[in-house]
Amino acid sequence: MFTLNHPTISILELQQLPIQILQLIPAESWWILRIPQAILILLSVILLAKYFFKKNYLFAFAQLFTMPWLIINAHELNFAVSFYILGISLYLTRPNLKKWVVILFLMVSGFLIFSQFDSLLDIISSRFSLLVHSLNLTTLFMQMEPNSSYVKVPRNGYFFLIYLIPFLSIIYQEARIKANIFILYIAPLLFSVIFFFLFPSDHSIQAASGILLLMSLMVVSGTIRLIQGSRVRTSIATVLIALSSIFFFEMYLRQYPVMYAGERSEGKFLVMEYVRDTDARKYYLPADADLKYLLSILPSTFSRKNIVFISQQSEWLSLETQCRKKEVVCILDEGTIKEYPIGKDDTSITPIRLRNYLSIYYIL
Amino acid sequence: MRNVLSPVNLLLGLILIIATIFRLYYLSSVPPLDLDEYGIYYNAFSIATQGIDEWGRHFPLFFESFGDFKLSLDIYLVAALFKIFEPSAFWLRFPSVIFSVLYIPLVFLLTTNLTGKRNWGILGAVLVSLIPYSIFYSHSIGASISASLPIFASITFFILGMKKEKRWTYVLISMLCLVVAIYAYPLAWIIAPLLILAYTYFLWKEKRIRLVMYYAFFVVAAVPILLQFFIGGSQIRLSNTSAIAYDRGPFTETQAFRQTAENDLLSNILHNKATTSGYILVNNYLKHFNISYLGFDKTEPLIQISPYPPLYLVLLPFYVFGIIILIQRRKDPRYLLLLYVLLIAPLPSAITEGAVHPKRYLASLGLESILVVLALQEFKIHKRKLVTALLAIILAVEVFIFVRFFYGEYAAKSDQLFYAKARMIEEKAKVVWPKSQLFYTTESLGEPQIYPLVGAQYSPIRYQQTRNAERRDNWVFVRSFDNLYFEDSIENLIPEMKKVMIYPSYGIFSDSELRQLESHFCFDINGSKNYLLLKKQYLEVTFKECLP
Repeated sequence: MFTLNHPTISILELQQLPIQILQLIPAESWWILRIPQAILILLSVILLAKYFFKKNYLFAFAQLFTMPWLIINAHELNFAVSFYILGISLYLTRPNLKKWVVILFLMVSGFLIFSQFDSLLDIISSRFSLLVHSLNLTTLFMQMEPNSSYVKVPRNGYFFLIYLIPFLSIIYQEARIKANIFILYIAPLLFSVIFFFLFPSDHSIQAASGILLLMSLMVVSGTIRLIQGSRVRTSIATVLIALSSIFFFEMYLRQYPVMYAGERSEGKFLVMEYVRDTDARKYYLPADADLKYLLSILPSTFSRKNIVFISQQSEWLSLETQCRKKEVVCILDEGTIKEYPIGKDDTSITPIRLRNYLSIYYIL
Repeated sequence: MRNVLSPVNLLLGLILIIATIFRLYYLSSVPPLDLDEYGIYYNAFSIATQGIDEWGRHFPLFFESFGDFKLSLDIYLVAALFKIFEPSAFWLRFPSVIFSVLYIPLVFLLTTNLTGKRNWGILGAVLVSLIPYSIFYSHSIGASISASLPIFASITFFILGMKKEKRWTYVLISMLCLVVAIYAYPLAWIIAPLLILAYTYFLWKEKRIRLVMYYAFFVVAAVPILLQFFIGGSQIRLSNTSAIAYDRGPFTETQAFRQTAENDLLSNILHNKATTSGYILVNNYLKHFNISYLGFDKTEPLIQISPYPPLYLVLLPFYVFGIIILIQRRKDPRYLLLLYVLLIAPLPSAITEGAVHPKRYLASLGLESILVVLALQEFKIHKRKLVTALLAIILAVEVFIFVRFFYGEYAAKSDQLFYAKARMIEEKAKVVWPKSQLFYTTESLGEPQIYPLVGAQYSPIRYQQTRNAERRDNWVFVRSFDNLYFEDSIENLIPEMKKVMIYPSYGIFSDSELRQLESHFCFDINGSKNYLLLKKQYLEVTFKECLP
């Protein structure tokens, strides 16, 4: 909860909400939109820990609550994911609600199928490849996100590396499949695989959230079995989880936002802030859909300011003298500046620097 | 006699014959010879004809070659074949075919021992004869199958002898196999000592004096390897391939992490050489058990690296169940040993850069077939005829797709990707050199001298006499010899050519190099080849006197 403002909210997250809601909140506080999602995930974790690990409720809760993939999902606004996690948790923990969860799942699936995909076969083939790579041991325990850097915390898997031990241990212990276990676990696993195929995103951490939730339960079960009845083992496990958590938070809160600043469109937010906070007569900006969107949710600035979006390279060239006027601000992107006669090293150009010191926008 | 001609034995014989014939198909050309194979070729040729290696040493235990000190097993086997038959790429690779085929009876024996049924043994034999790595590495010499086979033989004999009276004979054979392996490829330098540790665990309660004697034998046999590694210069192999060389990617990334955190205490504790090395090694190790690696990922053709995953998709679930069966039956020492082998097999590949490196992971070859058979037996697949038929059909389709890929797409691509220029030089040298001069630049060649040496089967003694070589960072660079002229760039080569050119002379050049030569020399173009890797075309030319 205390870290919900990390990482900086992205355009992908904002686009899920109506502009009218966003306009009610100052840009600096957009992160509060993540609170309902975090609460839903917290609720799911409490439900699962209480239902499955009655005696070891607190340990299970702590372990689930520090799972990297769950922490990241709590920090990434996505209602489909949070409702799905809650849905699976209800299915597993509230037997009398099962029927309704299944019906809801089918309805949502049907809606996604008919609304999202142009060519179902192409999508299925690419999703299958992504699913396979998402379930690699190295993706699960060493480096998350095989296809996208959007939520790629460096040197961290969806689970701490130490969880490989309880994960393998529980597979070994529970190798025999029983009918009731099949209904209880395989059904949500199938739902989760379907959800993965239907979820229109390359961010495995979100698409695979159902599968990861079931794996988390396996990891917690495995850990509890390994430590049961031994204070020494409990202490060792606690220390290892604490150390892994420190490593994860260092990477997630301090390294990841810098390393992948570009992936989260930090440059566009900086341009938006620049336009909001300056007072020029006219702004010439690159015709970028995301930039237009960001400026459109700032009504107080956007409606008053004279902003022109330029799409052609030739138009930029013709604007060279205009851009040199003091009351006019031209912001060029990386591709445009390369072709521009002045060049990005000219002293009259101020680069907009991301946290990783790269620049993708230049103020003229 | 009756027993020898039993249906199972006849079937095994048939599998062996078909597998051998199948592996001999296009043996010399798919894929084209690589640099190491050229090196093995010329050293074997030198041993077979003069009893010396390319550096003039009589019957050495380690072959200096390009400065990489190649191990001797492959070279002596090839030399023996070159002594009997006309030296050629076919006989160069023939030992690998034999190594690959020998897996079949070994898997048969081991699977029969584990399952108690010879029919399952036959299934194991069929599977290992079809596994992509087994076929791919039968077409390459010096790419570690010569080490992985004796390692597998060692494990097989050790397990076969576990419940036999003459157990110690089996243990001795097992140890001998390991000695052979350490002289075949460096992956055995890691696997063999770890196997000996495991053997010790199983034999500890038995005759210790005998055990110590066998160890003494192994250690004595390994002494030259140790000397070669620590004093003789073989460390260069490790330093060239190490996954944890401090000047490479992940360590630069670690530096960046520390800079981001302004080198505070926490970042110094979390981001340092030890944590980075640990991360790299564990990550590399786990990659060997990734499902995408095991059954899905195909790569572009690379030298000595199988572009195909190690398992057919239909076998992948059974492989995973096979591992679970090994764990479940771990109280039986045979299964425990196989589980141990499965876990140590990735180590040689995991400690090297670019893991998974299939040729360094070859110690696992054979295991996959056994695991699949164990799972199939556990599921009583023989009682489900329809499922069996379905699996067989899918497997046949997958094998067909692989074979079509290997002899079709892969063969075509690798012909244009690997050593296209080298082969042109080899072919030209076969016909015109050293009677006439041969010119080329060293671009994309690696070791520019080896191709004409192989092509012309040049006298090793004359090579010693005319060679001009220099050493840099423990690596050997040959500058020139006899009628052969090469430089690292066309600008450097042109003055040399002007000095020594006697017409007619020959050369192999890229299209851009040829444009620079046009203003200095007259020549006819005789042929060309595309080299996809550098997106260039190489042309074969004959230099002639310019008409006034």
